[in-house]
Amino acid sequence: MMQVALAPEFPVVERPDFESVYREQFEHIWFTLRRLGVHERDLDDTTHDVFLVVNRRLMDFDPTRPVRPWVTGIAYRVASDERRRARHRREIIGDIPETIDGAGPHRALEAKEAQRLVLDALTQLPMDQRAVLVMHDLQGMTMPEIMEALDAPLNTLYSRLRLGRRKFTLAVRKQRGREHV
Amino acid sequence: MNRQEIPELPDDILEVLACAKSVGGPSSDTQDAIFARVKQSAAAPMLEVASAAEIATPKSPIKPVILLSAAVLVAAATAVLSTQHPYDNDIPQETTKTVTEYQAQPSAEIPIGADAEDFETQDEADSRKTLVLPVTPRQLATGVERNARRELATDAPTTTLLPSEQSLLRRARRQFLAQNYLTALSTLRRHRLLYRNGVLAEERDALSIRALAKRGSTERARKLGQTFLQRYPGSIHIPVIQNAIR
Repeated sequence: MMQVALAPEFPVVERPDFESVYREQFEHIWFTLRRLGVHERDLDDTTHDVFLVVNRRLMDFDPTRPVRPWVTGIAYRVASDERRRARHRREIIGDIPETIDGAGPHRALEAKEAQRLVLDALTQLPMDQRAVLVMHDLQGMTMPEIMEALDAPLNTLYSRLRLGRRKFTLAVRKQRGREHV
Repeated sequence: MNRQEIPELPDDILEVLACAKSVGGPSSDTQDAIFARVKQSAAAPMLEVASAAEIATPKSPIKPVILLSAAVLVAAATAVLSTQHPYDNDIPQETTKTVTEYQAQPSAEIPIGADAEDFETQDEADSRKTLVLPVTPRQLATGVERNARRELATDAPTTTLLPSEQSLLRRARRQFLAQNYLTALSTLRRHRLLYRNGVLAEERDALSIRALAKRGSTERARKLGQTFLQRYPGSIHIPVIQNAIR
């Protein structure tokens, strides 16, 4: 007698609504964009553009997949687009938010200086290496997540991370040495 | 290349990174303001971003629907080009001759408007209009001919030379994002001339203030910003404008 295998019951995954995605990912996207080279004064507009795309494409999103890589991928493309448009201008580090989490003025100044140093060093990296470094070492994403966000082979991403780390280290040290002279 | 072969960042760099990460993020006001802007833009498609950035998935081959549409368009265009226009047989020989004469004559002698009506019947005037349309823009580039073209454009109810309110604002926004503030201001000025009290007047004014501020006309931006705050007290653009004119 032939046995009919019953279809396994998959848990029904609900599609996240836009507002929850926005609230959960806003700060991540904000910092990612800033670290990918979007100027401080353009952050509002660029973040707006990212979430506009998210809002429009939410119906195409596979709810069984994690949201963060998907949103980060959109942010990466918007930031790349923004950089292409602004290629003719020299990137200048803008004002940095004054709010430092529970810290005194000395600590705040130190953090601001470190932020400036990091952003300055990041500008010296090619966009592809910068993206992997930012997502992995600053935003704390895993490599599979980055692979999903950037749609690139894992080995390529590791290679970019290695090169990016080396260039970033050199750039930070060079910058610090210049400041200490 | 695998994970084990990649050297970790040195300790001094990790310290810098940890310190840089302690810088706070945007305020909740900013978050709310951007959220409101996104919702508004999503409701009004003219503010959407049309760019390569939108493509969040790998490139897909051309959709069959597009190919089918293109084939239908090509077939239709071929059919139209190979068919004689029905009005071609109705054109009186005399009128055709008149057009030839028009092209040979100096432009100032072409009768238009009220003068033309003195010489022609209504049918002849209609034929003249039908015949003048195919004349290339170069032939209509100067003087009285340009006026004639304007007159024809006014007469034709289906012809419009004005860009829509949405397209003007969309263009201005693209120019603003590309940091062409002067061009954006020019486009916004055009919008104001054409649609002074349009439905997107609030967006136009907000963008104008931001473009002025970015361009360095701080005083003017501040003055207009104050007016904006009085005129639109509940506007969602207020935080952005306050930030721009600060």
